[in-house]
Amino acid sequence: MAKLIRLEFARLLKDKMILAVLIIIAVIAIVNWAFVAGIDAEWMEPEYRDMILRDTISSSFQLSSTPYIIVALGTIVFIAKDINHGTIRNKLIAGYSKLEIYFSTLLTAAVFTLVGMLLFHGILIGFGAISGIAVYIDTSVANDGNNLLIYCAIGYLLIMVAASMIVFIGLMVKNMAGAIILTIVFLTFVLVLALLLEGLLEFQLIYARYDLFTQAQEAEDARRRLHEVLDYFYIFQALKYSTSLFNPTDITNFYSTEGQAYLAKVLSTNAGLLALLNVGGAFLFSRTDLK
Amino acid sequence: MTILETNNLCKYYRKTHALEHVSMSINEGDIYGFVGKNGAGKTTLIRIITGVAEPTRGAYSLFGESNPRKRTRLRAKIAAVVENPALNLGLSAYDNLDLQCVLLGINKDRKKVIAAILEKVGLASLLISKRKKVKNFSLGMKQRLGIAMALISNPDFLVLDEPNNGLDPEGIRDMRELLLKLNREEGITILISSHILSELSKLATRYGFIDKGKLIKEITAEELNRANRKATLFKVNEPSKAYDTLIAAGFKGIERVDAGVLIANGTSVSKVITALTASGLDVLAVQEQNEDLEQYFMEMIGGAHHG
Repeated sequence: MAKLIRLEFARLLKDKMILAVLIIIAVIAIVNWAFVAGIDAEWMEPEYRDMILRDTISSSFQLSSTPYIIVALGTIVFIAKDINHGTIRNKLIAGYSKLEIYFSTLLTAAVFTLVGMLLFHGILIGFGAISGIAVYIDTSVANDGNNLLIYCAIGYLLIMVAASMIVFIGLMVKNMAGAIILTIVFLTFVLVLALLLEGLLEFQLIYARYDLFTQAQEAEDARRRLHEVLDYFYIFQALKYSTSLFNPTDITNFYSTEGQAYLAKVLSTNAGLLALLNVGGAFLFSRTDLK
Repeated sequence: MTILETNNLCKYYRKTHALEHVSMSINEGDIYGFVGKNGAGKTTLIRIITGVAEPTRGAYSLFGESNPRKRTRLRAKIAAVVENPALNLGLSAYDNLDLQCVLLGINKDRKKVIAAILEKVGLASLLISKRKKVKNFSLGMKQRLGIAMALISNPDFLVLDEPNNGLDPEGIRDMRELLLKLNREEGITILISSHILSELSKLATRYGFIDKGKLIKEITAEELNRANRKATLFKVNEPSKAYDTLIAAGFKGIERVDAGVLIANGTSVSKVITALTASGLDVLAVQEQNEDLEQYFMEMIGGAHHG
């Protein structure tokens, strides 16, 4: 399998589209940083500049953010080309099983996704630090640097689940155009579905039941209970990263009891989801015919 | 040693039966000509043995191994060009071969290996224009590069699906010579499917005829030659008189043609000549009339359809 993994990385390095994706990501990051850094201090307080950069970083973890969509499209085209050109057959004929092919593709896609997103965040945080823009999550937390790392780690975990889904789409939909369309639909559909469901549930369970003038506390408790349940679901976890950190349902202190509970939920559900997607995907792929 | 053996291999795509109980064998050293019309099931069988598709039913062994896991590993001894050559179109020929070397673990003298294989398939000129992308190649060049990709692993068993697609006459001749050389000098067993039956007949040592997913017949080249040696043509100056003379002399299995008379094999040539010259006829030439592979195939398919 080592040779197969070496091949995938050699293929990544030879693919000019991959280089183009990384350049685009870098340009987007620089433009975002330049926009924040260019804000006149007399026009906006420095802390608001910090918040804009923070929100740019946090929202980039959402599945339909521009940087992630570009990385995801790069990934899907890379996988679909292997199937479209028939070069995936070379791997089978060289004596590798479909399971090995699946997992080597997954590993390559995960590494590429990680590199793309790290490049984006690295430029934003690095350039931000150089130009005096602080990056933080919650200033009330004593060790906010680690808090930020945990926040980003959750974001990367959510993105890895999405990357697994994209590998599954790429290897199962044996058509480049179809795979690209399905990827875009998946990335946008997750958030649209989460927003619709959240709105519907909040309306049914809170706004339709409580008089917000007289039962504000009960309504807030009901909302908190609802989100405690929704936090178990991937689409709602992804939704948290789609909004500004001003959102009251967001968790910004991962050292608090609430934050620790949320962390446990995210880690356990996504570990399960990753296992299910990848083992199930590899199993299904091993039973399908290639082009 | 049996390189490939299939036992009642079936492949169904919903209502389409692409392969129906195909049992065939390819022995070490064979050049196995796989003959069949479009959609007969040739490519489906090749896709199964190369691991691209799974059979619906039946079993097959490669190099005597039928255990799926062990068989997968043994595929490393196979090289194949299935349908279109599997090439990364956005890369150059050199880069494609370089990636194939990475996949096969060829690290030592990689440049020399690539140069040698490009020369072997008549693409040495590509060593100069290293940057030309495969998508700009002609079909024939892609085909040659596909063969190069296959041969770089020094396979024991070469599987080629329509390798002459897109090749010009010179290319077809070069391909034939290359395959014969690989078989005779390096002992590579070859499975080749082709529509160009005249070309196939210059290569194959054994044939398998497939129609509508069913293997109709397996036959060696010698058996085919014997079966095709059907009649002897006697070219004479007066075909009608020759025909009447031979009928009167009691010869059987005679047919009158424009140039003379055809007599079924088994009849003494000297007796026929004696009878004709005794009647004052000039025997201008005596020729053995063979059916070619195409005629044999058409007769067989016709027979299979009527059967």
